Amino acid sequence: MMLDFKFHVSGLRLLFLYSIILFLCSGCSYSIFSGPREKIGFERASASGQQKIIIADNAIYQNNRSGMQIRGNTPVKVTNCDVYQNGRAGINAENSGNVFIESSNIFQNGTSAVVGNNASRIFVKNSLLHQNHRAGMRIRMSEKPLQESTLVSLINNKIFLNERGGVHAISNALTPIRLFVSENVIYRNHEAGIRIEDNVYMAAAMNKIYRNGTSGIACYITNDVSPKLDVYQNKIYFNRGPGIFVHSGSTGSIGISNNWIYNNQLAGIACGLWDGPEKEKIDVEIFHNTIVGNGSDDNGTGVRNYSRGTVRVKNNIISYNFTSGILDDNCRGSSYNLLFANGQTSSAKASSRRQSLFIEREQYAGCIGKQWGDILADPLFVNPDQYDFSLQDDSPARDAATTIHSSYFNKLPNNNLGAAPLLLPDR
Amino acid sequence: MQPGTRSLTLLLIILLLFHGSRAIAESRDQDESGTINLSPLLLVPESVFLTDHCDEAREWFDEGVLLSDNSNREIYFYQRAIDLCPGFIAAHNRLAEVYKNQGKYILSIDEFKQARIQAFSSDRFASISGSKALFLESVISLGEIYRIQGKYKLAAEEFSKALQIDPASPAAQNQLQYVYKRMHRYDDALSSHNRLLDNAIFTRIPGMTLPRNTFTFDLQYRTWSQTAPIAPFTVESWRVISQFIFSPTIPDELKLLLFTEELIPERNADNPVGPLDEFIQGFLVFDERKATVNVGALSMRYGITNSLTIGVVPKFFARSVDIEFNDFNSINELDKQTVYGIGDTELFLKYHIWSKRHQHISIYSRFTLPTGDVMEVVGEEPLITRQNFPTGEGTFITENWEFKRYIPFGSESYDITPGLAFTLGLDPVILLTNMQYRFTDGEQIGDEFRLNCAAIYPMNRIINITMEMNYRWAGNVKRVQNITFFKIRPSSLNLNPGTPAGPVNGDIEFTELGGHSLFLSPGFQVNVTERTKLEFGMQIPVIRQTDGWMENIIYHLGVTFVTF
Repeated sequence: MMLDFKFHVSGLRLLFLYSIILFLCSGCSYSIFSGPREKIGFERASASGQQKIIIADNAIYQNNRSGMQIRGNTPVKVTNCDVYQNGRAGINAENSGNVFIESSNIFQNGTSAVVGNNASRIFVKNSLLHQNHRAGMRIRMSEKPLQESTLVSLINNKIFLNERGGVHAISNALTPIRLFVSENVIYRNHEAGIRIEDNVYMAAAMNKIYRNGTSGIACYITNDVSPKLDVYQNKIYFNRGPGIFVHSGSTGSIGISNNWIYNNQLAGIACGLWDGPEKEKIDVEIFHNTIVGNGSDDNGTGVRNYSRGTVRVKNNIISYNFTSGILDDNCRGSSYNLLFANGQTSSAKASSRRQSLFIEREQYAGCIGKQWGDILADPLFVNPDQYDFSLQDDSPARDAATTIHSSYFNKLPNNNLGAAPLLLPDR
Repeated sequence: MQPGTRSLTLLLIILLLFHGSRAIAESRDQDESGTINLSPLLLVPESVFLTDHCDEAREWFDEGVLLSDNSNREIYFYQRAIDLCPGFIAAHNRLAEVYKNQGKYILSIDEFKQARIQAFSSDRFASISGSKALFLESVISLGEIYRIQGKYKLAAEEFSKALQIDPASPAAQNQLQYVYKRMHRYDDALSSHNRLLDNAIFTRIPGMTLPRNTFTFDLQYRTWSQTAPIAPFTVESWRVISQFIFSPTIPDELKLLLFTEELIPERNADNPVGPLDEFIQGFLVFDERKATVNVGALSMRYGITNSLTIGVVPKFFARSVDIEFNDFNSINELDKQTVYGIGDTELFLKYHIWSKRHQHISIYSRFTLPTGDVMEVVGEEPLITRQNFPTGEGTFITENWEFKRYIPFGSESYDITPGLAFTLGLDPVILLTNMQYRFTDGEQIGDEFRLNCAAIYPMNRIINITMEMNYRWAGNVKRVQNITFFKIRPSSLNLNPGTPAGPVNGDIEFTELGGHSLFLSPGFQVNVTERTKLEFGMQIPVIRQTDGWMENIIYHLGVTFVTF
């Protein structure tokens, strides 16, 4: 059975819409919340998994609480709606809620554009999530969820100017959140572009993540289960913190690969920044990234590892970063990288050895020096001034990579150091 | 004409001018000449325009932000917003940003400059969250366009300008370092305030060595008073240097009563402690001794290589000494004498043996050259009289006599002090520790072990606070003291017992006991410039050794200059 509501609603028509929905839903084994008068909500009353609710072409705005509240696992499709200026979330999916949001504009809501509390599935595509008073999207799994996991897909959205982060996913439960973020533009949010905590697996690909208030992507742990992430083929730039910050966690089968990470105001990629036992819970692979011009003030390394966990850094181009190229206590996992003009050292010098300075202004900070297979030379980007880090034909980074044995790189082999530009989204 | 109509007309004129100037600028964009002319009307104060349209302008602006797709439609929204409210700085910035993203750099520069002008004319400019922030955004974005165009010099000027307004601006720092590196100005690439791994005030030797070809100059001044408690000394030997020659007015019989040399047996293996030694020792119980010490040290160090540092540390002393004799309090009228002189000179050699990020270990050695003088203090003190002599009776001698004191300013030996130093930089706290042992010949200055620990915490870029613990073990010291004591008539003469016969001046060798001391040492440092630092600290004794000299609070004032 499919219910298809199509309205062009605004202003006073909202009340009319509400009445229609009330009538239709009552006759279709769906009940409506008896909450605030302005609220539109659905609650599943039957266990049928075949049913689907479609809400299309609506403007849902200025309600005291959420614009929509969706419970139960009956799929709800929200398409081409404007959901704005509601007292709480624009769309709130909870308790196994299952929602597909497409081509909608969700903005200026009291909390987040889309909230998922123990939802089973949230799919957001081709939508705008912006200027909300908290994160653009906030997904949370509490201790006793009804379902085995939460599946969240964000595809081709613009998530911007939210007063917290762009996307925030946190699972305190043993059941994970699976978050897929693809082809989105996530920018100018006041906190991290994407932030995951605890039992969350995230795959982020083909996104542009820029000018966010803290990190581009941040990964934390607050309980026993570490988050896991694969970040590939993204452009992450101009964020006010590190491009990617892995406080704790591990990478999956792809790792942090094939990204352009540039001009972030702290490190390009930072691992285990602070003290604490979480430092042990890091297992990160950083392959084939182009990491350029990150850092400011006393911070700003291409790849910074303060953890005692494992960080493998291979086949990357790391250049023009503020204080140093690779900062690691031993650089055990580093090899086959090209470093150039990091810190105060020019092309071929590994180190300026200003050891009495608190900040090491050198290609390698903490390492003895050049690692196996490393190249210290100008990578010869096509036009780095215009943020085009493609390689010129005679670049020393060409054909200098070592083979990475993984299913991802078997499909997308790359003999050059750095990221393959063709895999990246357009600027 | 109504005010509203007049304003509308003015607005239309401005719109025409804006579009005209943009068209010109757009045409110039093709040849990338980089030169633009700002319309004089843009300098018109904000108040001239209609301000009641700014609310409407905000709506247009929000529409543009909503779009955020760098399209011409987005441009249109911002232009409408600016037309309605020309002082709308954020709209100028956004419009310029879209032009920049479209590659229309001349138009973008034009808009950023207009944003700057409007920001300057705003009465909220002083607020970082208001116009100042928007001004910064325009300056940085303008610099970024120059960067994109490859005009590094202009870009550097804009980013530097932004840093003048907000030195902490990360975006400006980030872009400026890139531009400098592209200009091969690596030495300028990092912000100048990257701080040194600071050195502590009393734990002066850090784990790292100086970079090659780097000098540090370190001028220190310390002052303290010190005391030695009442304590008998074990006399090792003594040697009469001179005996007082009474004036001719003294009766001959008194002269006969002087001790003669043979009455003072030499110490030797057969006679380790003669009977007269015991007698003399009774007079060698010093009262509490006091001294005030002022030390100036100029340390010069140089990095021969990145791992090898040499240095030289000459010292200058000013010392005021007062020595009292236990049994002669009633005649103690010594003036406090102050002498100045050069102390021992230290040569310094340090080698950096290990480092791992901000952890550094070095070994070092200090070599002491006995350049310190022995200062002679000459003065007068009253001669013994029967009246004021403790056991005498009557007065039969009343005159002063000249005495000498010898105050050593050095160890009078070549000493070596090997040590180990460790520095750990835990951003932002810096921990330092070093330990050293001074090997001496045990005369004038004894062996000494020091263990110093320090923590430095930067409160901000200018002020560091420091806390140190300084432990010292001092070994026993053989000292030579030039003193005067007074002879007593021997009882065999059957005269009044205890009648003084006159003073004898001699060198007494004795052993001064060492002990353990612990100081708690707070202080602070002021970074006057990137390379110059002032410091003030004090060492407060919390555990004092019971024998020998013990310092009271030591005050330190220093200035350090580093050349890079």
